[in-house]
Amino acid sequence: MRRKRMDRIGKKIHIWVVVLMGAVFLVSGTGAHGAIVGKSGSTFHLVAKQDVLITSDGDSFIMWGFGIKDDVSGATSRAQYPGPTLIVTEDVPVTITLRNELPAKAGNVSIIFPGQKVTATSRVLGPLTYEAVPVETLPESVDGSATYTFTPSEPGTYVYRSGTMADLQVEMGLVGALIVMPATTPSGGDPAKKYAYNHVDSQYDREFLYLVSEMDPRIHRLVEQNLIGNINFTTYFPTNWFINGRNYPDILAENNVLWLPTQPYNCQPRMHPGEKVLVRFIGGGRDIHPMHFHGNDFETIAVDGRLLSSEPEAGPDLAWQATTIKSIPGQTADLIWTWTGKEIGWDIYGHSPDDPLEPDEYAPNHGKPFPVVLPQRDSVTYGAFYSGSPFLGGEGELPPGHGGLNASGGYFYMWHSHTEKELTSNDIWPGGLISFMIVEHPDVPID
Amino acid sequence: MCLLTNHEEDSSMFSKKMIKFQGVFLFLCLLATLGGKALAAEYWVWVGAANMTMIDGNNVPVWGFGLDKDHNFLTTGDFTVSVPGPTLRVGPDDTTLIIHLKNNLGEPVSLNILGQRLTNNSGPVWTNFPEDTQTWSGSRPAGNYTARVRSFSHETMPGEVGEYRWESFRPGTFLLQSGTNPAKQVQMGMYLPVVKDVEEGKAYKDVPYDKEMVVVFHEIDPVINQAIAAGTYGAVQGATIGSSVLFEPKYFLMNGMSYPSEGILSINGKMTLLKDARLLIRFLNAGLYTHVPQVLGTYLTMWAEDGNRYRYPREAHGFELNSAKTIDAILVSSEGPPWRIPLYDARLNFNNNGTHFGGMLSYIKSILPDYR
Repeated sequence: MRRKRMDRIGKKIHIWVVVLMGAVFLVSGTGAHGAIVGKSGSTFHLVAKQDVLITSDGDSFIMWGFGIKDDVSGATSRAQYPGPTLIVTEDVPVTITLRNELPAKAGNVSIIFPGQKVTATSRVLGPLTYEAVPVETLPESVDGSATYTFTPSEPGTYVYRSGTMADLQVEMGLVGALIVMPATTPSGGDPAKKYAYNHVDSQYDREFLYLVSEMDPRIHRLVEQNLIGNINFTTYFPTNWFINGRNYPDILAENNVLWLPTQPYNCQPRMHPGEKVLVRFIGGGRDIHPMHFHGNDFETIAVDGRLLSSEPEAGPDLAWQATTIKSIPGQTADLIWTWTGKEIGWDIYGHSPDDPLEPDEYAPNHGKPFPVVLPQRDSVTYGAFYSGSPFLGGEGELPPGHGGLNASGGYFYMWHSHTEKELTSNDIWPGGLISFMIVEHPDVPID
Repeated sequence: MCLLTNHEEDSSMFSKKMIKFQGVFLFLCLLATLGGKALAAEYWVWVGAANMTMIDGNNVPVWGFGLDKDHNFLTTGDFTVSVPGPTLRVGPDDTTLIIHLKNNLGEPVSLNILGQRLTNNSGPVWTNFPEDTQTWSGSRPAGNYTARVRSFSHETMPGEVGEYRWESFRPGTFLLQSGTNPAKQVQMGMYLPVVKDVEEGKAYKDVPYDKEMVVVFHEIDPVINQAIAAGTYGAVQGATIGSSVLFEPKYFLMNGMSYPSEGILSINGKMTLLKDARLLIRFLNAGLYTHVPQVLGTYLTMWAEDGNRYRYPREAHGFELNSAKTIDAILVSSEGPPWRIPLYDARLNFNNNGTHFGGMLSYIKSILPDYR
């Protein structure tokens, strides 16, 4: 679909909307209908295994991750980093079995679930919970697995991590997200809409995972060389940082991309103006990262799976707004982020006043002219994500050699760690904790 | 009413101390009635050097606080140093805290309680760094722009006794530290908790509790401690460690202990918490690193920060505790004894001098009552 418009000074601007079928670069960061990518159910069979992960500087190193057994085929996936996002329902009992297929040198493995009241069983009680023994060290007839059962009493965002030698095993990759969906629509709510908690003010349109972590490759090399005894965490020095198990720019690729077989989750949130996006924010590692959100403030409505409420039933009336939030190890937060172009002061669609409004368009800006004369194309250098037009959904002439990475004319807002050295992968820029939220024209299909 | 309690764990000492303590206690109350003096909690505290044995058997030199046994500093060796120092309690009706400090170290010291105003402060103390041969108290010496502050409050010189008074002492949980050369002295072990309730059994307005515990997170860098004890730290001739920029801790402790020492396996001592009992946990970070206390199987309700009661409490299973921060939280016992809840650092400092498995893992336990 192509429309031509005359802007205020008579220059023709092409505004068209590109249908994204088959577009290579930009893909949705969410599952079907804006849902989080993961495994839904109430019984899960996890397997701890050793595998390899790939970093954006072209390096690779040994990792330990949770794979999951498929209910239908019976096959177990490769280990993945982070572990599978488990999606369960409030008040429905959950059972998770853990089989330890790590090499014997790794020792026992276990899972702890902060925020849940867990009953665990296995052959071995470790310092934090019952542990699964490596199958390599047991005869076939002996079952060394561990079983964890709990009934989540509150919806929300939770984290699970290894509870055995946790400094080593979490570093190696044994961490994942647990999402508890509400059992029913909150009172006053719309059954067709999505809610994070049992209150209407936790409504959202799209959600995605934002699990932040880091790694020190020297530790992984020592594990690979069978020198676990030489690992010394007092000299810990991470040089790789991850969102949902990948570094930038690998986070921009699709979910389940073939060349990242053990890192299935991306971090590529996209939305239409006016939508509410739920960011399930998790501190998966051991360091604190101040994540900084361009484009608009976010609102923190819950921490550790509990709404920020002055009293029960009040909803998130104690929610706080900010541009930066620290990822605290072992802690989760639920953030609501939205965008309408409200304070931009000009019509983001390049409309004239008698054009119809777009869905969720901020009406007071409608028809307001673009406030400056843009320099000529050859007088400026365009950033990689500039579409050629300042308008949402727009496109324009790009200089020769420009990659044209913004196929649908969206607005890219960088969400990144403000500890700027973390924007590298092993000293290579760009890398690490960079991500983008893309606000797309309402006609651009997202999923 | 005067209410002075001492929370030292050594029960055999307790009865002897109570008798002497009561003597002093009654005396103070009498003074209050006669002299019209405000009610005060008064402590006689030594600061001295000692060797602390780490969980792997290594001895590390420390400088710590210890209570004088008979409150008169007359008997040599009449104190035992601990890191962290003993928790000092200010009674709900005490308006003032007085600490008599005897300096058994070879360099000046001072005291500083974060969040409380030192009423008789005649500092800060300035010196002509790095010679340290001349000092001034109060404002910067006129026209002298090279003098540096060495102490936040008035100093107590080696061998001397100093008095520190905090009047209008606010209720809450607070961290007392050395106020002298803090980058050097605090990490050597000069810190202790100071607590005060708003009334008997209530930490803050509408925050009652049945039992309480104090948890101090801290780390030790033995190389820096050794250099400080040997006099080879800082801007001195032959220094092996130039500054605390090189801080790289090897030991990670809670209340002076690392996993799996016996005390840390029940960090709240021998305590019975019945169903619905409210346990007040006073968290302090006396270290230099941020820690994240986390519990498993339950939630904590956070009620105050740095001695300031929140307007609304917050439920969490973990929280950020940065250096010098205090947090007061209530843990409600969901069942009768026996039970055990892990309390650990979610930043995963689980090693002892680089060796697994140790560091900041403890258990809060509720034991069956002994009716014998």
